[in-house]
Amino acid sequence: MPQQNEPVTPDLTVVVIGYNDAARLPGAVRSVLNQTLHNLEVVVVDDHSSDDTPQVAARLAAEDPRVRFVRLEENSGGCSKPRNTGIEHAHGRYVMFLDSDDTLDRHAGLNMLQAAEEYDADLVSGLCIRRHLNRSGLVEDVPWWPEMYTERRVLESAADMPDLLRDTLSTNKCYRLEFLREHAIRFPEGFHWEDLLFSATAYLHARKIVLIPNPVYYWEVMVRVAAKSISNQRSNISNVRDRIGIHRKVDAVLDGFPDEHGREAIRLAKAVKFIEHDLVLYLRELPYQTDEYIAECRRLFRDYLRTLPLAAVFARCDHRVAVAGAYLLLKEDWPAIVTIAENLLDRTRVSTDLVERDGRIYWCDNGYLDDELGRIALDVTEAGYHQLSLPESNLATRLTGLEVVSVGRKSGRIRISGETVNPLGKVPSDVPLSAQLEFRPGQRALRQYRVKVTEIRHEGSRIRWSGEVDVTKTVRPVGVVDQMFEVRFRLKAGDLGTMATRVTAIELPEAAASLELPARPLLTRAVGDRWVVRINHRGVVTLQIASRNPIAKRVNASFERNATGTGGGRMLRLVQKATRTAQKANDPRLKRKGYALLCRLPAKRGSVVFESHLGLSYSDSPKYIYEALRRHGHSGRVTWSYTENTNGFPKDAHLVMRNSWGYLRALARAEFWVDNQGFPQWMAKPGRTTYIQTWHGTALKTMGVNTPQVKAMLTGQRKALSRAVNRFDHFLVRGEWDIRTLVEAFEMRAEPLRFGYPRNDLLLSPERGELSASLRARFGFPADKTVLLYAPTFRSTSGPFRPDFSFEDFAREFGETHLLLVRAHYLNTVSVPEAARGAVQDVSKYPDVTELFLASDALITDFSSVMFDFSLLDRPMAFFAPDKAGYTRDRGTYFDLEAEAPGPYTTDQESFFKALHALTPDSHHAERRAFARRFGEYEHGDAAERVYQRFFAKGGQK
Amino acid sequence: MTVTVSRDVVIVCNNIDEAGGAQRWARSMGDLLSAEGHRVLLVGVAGVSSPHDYTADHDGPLPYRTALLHDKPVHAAPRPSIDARLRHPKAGLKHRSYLRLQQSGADRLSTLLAPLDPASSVIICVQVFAMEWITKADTRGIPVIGMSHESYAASMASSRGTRVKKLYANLPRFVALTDQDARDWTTKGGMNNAAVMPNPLPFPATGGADPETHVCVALGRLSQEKGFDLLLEAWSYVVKARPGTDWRLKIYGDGPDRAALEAQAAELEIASSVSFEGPTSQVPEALRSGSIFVSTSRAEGFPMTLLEALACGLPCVAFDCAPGVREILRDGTLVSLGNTEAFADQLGKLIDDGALRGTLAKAAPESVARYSPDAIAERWERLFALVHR
Repeated sequence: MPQQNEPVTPDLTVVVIGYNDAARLPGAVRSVLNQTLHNLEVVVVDDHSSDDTPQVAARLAAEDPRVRFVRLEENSGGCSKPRNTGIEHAHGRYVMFLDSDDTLDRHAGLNMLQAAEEYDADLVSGLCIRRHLNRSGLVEDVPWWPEMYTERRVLESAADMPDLLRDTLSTNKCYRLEFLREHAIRFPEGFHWEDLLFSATAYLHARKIVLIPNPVYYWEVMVRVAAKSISNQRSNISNVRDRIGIHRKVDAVLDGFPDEHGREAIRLAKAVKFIEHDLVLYLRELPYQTDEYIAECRRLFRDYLRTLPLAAVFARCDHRVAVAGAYLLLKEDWPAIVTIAENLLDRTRVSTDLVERDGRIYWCDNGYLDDELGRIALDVTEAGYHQLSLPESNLATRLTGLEVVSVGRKSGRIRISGETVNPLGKVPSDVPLSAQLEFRPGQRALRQYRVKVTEIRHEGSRIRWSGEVDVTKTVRPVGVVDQMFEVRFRLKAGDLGTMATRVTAIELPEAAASLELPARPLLTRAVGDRWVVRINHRGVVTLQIASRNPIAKRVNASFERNATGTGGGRMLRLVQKATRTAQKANDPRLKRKGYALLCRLPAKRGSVVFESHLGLSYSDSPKYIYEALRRHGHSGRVTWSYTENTNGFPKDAHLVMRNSWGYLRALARAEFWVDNQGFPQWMAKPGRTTYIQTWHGTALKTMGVNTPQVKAMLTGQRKALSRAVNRFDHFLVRGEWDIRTLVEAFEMRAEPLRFGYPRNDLLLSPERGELSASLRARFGFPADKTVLLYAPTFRSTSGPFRPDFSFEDFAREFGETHLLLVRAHYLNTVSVPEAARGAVQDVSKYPDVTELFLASDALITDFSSVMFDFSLLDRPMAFFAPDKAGYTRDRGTYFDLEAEAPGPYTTDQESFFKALHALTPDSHHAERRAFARRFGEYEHGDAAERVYQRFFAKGGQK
Repeated sequence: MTVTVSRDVVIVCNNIDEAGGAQRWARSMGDLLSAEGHRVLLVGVAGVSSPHDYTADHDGPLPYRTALLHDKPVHAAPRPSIDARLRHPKAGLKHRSYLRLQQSGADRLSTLLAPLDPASSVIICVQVFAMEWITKADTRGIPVIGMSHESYAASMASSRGTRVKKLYANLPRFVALTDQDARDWTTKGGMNNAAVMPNPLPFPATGGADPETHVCVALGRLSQEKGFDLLLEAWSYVVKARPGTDWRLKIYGDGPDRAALEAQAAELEIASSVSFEGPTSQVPEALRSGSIFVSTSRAEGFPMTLLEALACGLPCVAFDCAPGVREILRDGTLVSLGNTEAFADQLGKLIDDGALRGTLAKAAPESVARYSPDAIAERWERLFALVHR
């Protein structure tokens, strides 16, 4: 160890810069002094503040010998001069930069140092975490370029990872001081965006770069702070000029990069980042700027874009709309650029008509598609907008008119009109249209208001609409908490469903800009008395409350001060405390205790909780038991649980979100639990509750104790599993097969109910013929085509799956005669290529598979348990399973499907297609029947009814 | 690397007298660091009822000092929840007397640390349970290095995961056993001080096993966690596929499941080819008596027996139950956890192919050279220097 009197070289110098930030400077400095690395120094550089900063900094320096303080002679107005001054004063072997409003992670210094020394690196970069307040006022951590920091990476130079240049921050990095001095790397003075040039220069010169996955820097982004910091002031044109200027400078540095191959790779990656990030940042706000700004900005971007290797860059970008934007900037097509901006503000929004050519989808034509570069740039097929159904789509809806109809003391009627784009004829002209205008506050929990739109019609490629609304009477805000209501548009198009979107405008009609209507908040007019119309920062038309009377002005001013933190911030702290408390209410431990207490309350007589597939949908046997209950007029409280949304769930049931407090309460007090998979394992069932487990399919693959997954379980996990299974009181089975497989594999104590599956009742109903016909009509399946349902089982990973045969080939061979419905497992998704549409249809999202069975003529599957249910219909089945060996090896099966399949069993596309050609309604007739009997001898089409009679009817027994 | 600074190294474990993995590790570290010239103090939080005799491994006296904070076993009484208090009125009192006990142990630790120089000393906390004592003691600024001797997943499946995050988060360094675990602790567990420190081999990697003895060896505590029930299941498939084979399975170790396992072997009709050898203190000799090492653990941290088996020159077949197994057995035979059929297939391949066994046996010792005592001691030296920066 060094002797005490000997001067020690600090391992690290942290340069802390600040300007008029006396309040937060100590926090930043403390985050350095509290590092687990002790041997460091802090150089505080004050950019000639006019507040207490110098005194505060001097005090910090007096308190700890590791802190030094430098004050600039005059204010420099940026970050460059102070940081450069810090570099001059640094004594450490390594140097980092910290802004006075941010903090370092406690272990940042040691993590940086360890990585730097282990690899003798010039530069170490760690993860930067942006901290901001989200909509609910809670602090949210968002990592900056997390994909770069998933694991430790050691690079010989920037050429090893050209994408490096995406992370342009200078503050989440640690530099060897000698390295900075040797290459004279400094922050450019007199420019904004100094970080871009500095970090790029450092990347390009560094001989060894280490990336570490550890968070090192907390960037405290406070969106509520009124005064935006420099980097957020994009609306100043010099800001654009500086940004582009910096990019040109970085390009110049890049020209000197020694490795030629690496240089081109970096140039490409940098250009991609420029288009996907920098360009997008400016472009999406561009239409809202002044004319002079727009003209200058367009010129600057156009000129810079021309210096890039465009064809290569355009092909490399994943952000297809940004590429289209870059191309249209080059072509100076302003109206088309505006549509790009509209999309960039909300990535799901389709703001043009889209063009289809040779199976590809383009943003627009305008003659550019004859140009090779134009075709590359405008191709947005990958964005997938054309594949969305109407409810999934977000069709741009623009305000075209807004005028006053009548204004009274307590009324304010206006007429709103607008137009909605209709790309590729998404909404056919022959479907009946209806629409609503919706006024929705920023806070999701609060009330929203809807009014019907009276006039709506197709007009060329647009849908035009217009409607009147008395804003004063219709929209009743609370006040203070809901100052702003977005105007939304809900379009219902016959059976296609409803699409909801925000109404946008680039500029308000003149009458609207100066419009004022009376407002009547529930907290009286003391919190606001007028409605005004504004365009918010996302380009959305909004109604906002304004204060014209003196009391409201003062009240709102005080709330404003508190909320933005410029005055005491008491209100902000109160709100944060309340939200933290609310967050604590979601603590799983609290929920467990709360649930245990709730279970001590008596059961509500006749109350039932239903859940299907962990709350994913209203479907399967629970649905049919529920319908039986409704048919018989069951009087107890009936609850359905849902996970994502309530789409499709019955309106006459009490709906609770899975794992919410309402869910816990419903389960704790229910007399019956009905479910097909399992309520959360940790929830013990009260003794007085009856649990009817309907299960969701006969077993082909081995289950329970016979699977490696269960064998692998430790004692605790095994106990938890058997506890969960022992909650079942009754278990629905389709046949003795289920008892030999499922009941035994889970070592179940439940009583098997030999009723069959309620979900299969329809398949055995005497009216199934008529039912099939009406369902086919409802789905719109052509009567003259054979409908095949393809339902493969779960692939080893969730997410998109690739079918084992080509949909395009299928469409070519069977397109004229067949319709293929594809139903992916509920954990998988599938995408149907453009060329196969028409012959192949994705029905994965349709909740009720039984109805799909009825509407189909035949089933195709591999190992899915749908084969057992479908066999009841006595319609043909075909089996296509190319990866049988892999599947049985991983999972194991109870019987050999290939040998016992009740239909043609194929393993390659050619023989599969041959088998499909040969398939007739009578093929494998005897085998089909035997199969249905073997696995479902208890199926008689009355399962739901028997469940009802057994448990819920008068005199039913539990 | 030569030792530049001679340090006081205090190693704190739950106990230092059992024959478990953590204790064996601590004892071998005591030997290793003492040999490097450090003054090592081994501290056990609690005593055990039947201590293992560690002096037997040494000719002379132990090269390090030992101390206990409590002479008797300690039974933790965590803070009872409200409903537990209602059901067991004495739970609160029990917890308070546990806190008093903890404080007295912590005071004892403070006394032990008092004479040390904070500028050169280091405390190594081997198990997170012991950290509760260290937190309550006066460490006088001596840096503490926290350790977790199990995989990230295993920690998170127990209460230790949350305790590690709570008690270790502010330490200058927290070391996990493998790269993968350190990465998991950083990216999933939010432990920003996580680093890697593998366990050292307790003896040199010199090989010595004979690939032709036709014996499979397994070694470990006979408990559910070590999965010997799965091993017997897999072994029954191996034997049934090869009627009349002369291969035998030797299982060393003792534990609560012994009777059940013997019964299972009988039921599977493999009792004649399986022998339960009981516990052994001669691990290398036991390992060298076989030609293949098998491990069917359900959970592991950094399995020393696997490391030792490779050092003795045995090809290994193991369930892929933890990053530690993957790291040690980089090019070895891994089987997905719980799949006994596949395990039997892989083991069968080795049994049937003598040439393959020979090649693997030859390569085995070299593959664990990076865990040699010298290499690991050097890594510790670097870590000690780092936490004093």
